[in-house]
Amino acid sequence: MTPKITETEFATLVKRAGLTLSDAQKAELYKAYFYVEAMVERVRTPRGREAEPAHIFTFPPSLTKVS
Amino acid sequence: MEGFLTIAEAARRIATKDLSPVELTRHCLARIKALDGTLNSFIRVTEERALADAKAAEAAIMKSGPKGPLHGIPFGHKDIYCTAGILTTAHSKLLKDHVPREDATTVKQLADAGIVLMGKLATHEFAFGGPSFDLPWPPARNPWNPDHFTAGSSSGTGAAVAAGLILGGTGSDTGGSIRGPAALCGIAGIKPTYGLCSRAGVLPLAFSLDHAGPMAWTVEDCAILLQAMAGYDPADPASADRPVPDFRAELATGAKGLRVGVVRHFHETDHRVSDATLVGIEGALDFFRKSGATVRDVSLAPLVEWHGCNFLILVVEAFAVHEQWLRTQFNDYGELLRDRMALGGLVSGADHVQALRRRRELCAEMAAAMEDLDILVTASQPGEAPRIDAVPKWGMFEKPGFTSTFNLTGYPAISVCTGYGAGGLPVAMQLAAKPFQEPTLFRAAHAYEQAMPWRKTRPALAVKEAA
Repeated sequence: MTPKITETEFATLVKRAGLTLSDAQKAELYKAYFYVEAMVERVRTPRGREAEPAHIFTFPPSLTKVS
Repeated sequence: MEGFLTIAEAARRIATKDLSPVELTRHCLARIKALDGTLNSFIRVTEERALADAKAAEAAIMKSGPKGPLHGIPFGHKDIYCTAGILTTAHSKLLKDHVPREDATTVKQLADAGIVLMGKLATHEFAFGGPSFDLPWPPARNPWNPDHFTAGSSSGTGAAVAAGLILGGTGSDTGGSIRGPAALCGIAGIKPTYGLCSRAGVLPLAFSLDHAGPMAWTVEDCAILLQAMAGYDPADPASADRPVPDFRAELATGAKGLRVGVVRHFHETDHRVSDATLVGIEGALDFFRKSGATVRDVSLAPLVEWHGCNFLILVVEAFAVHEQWLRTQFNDYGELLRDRMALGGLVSGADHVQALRRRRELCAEMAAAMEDLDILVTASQPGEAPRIDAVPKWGMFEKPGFTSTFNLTGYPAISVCTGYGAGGLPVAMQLAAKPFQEPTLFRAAHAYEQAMPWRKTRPALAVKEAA
């Protein structure tokens, strides 16, 4: 299974990530990038602009207590 | 002493002064010496500490009785749990000299409950890269057949508990790292609800998916251990500030009245499991029906949707945790860890947010499905353990796993042994429940386990040594 991006495009991603890889490591990861593409495609299901992500945060009770 | 004891059995005997914690600890140390050269389940045996803990426990028990069922029980920690003054390596060259100043919260809780610390247990490197043969320590091996894989990443805990080297241990679970080794080593292991057990002091893999939890021979033992590990911890931003229930309260209730859903398409079509695994799951469903539970099929999004979303988030979070080392010391990691984790640095920010949006949708889907159910059933692993030298580097990306669905959603899930396959190694099923409904999860799992003969068989290698 071959990734959709070219090896040149892939090299740009590796550089942006700040990784220093040997040619063999680059070749190995390039082949495996297919799996990233497959996962990315799956999470891009149709949804409205307003659909929120899963991460949330809460305020500590000490900050929200009504005196 | 002879044979193998569960935590519950040992606790009863210790309470009646029929069993000495020192005797029990020496017995486990002897087993470690006899078997761990084959199993590699320990990175470090803390013999002096174990004997000191055992002697202290024995003295306290003789004076005023045990403070609880874990007092004097031989126990091990996965080597990503920080232990004050004791090397905590994550099975990695990068942390080979790392000695934490403080215990993880759960390490302290278990010490307060009286466990005897036997040592630190093998893991996949930083709970992600394994089984690896290029690390400072070898990978743990399956006591049912040492040529075979334990699953990971809590590999040492799975092997050591199954072989009776310890009575219980800690694991961590980001995509199935408690339930996988529990399944392949034939023990019980629970990934609790997200937020129930503190993650503080447990080396992170992926913050929003990491869970700390216990592993033991039986479901009841897991309930006993979880009792000590659960509870609010302000040091963990995800910790749930809510009362901790009695996890053994419903154990004697049986399965009658439970509403059980089975996600048949997960293990029959989305990722077809072995015949023995299927027989085990069907046997459990028959048990639940005959016990007075209602059982019905449930349809969810395909397994690959849950698994893919979980792993996309996992690799991105993991890359963020390890970014500096991956940039500067890439080759100091083992090959499996560095190659798998590097993928996370190649995902765009927009794709990561789309994964988080998909996660919310899938969480909503799970909540709707569980509305009128108490228990969800599917597989834990596809079959028996493969050979340890035949685990593919990209296997976790090639076929969807059964466990990551419940990391993504945070629901509690337990792996329970359902028998043995054609190769003589264990097979298992996975039960899940609604958030914070661990008592009901333990109830269903314990009822099944008590009705079946699987807990009577230990790995032949361990039985032979015991004889």
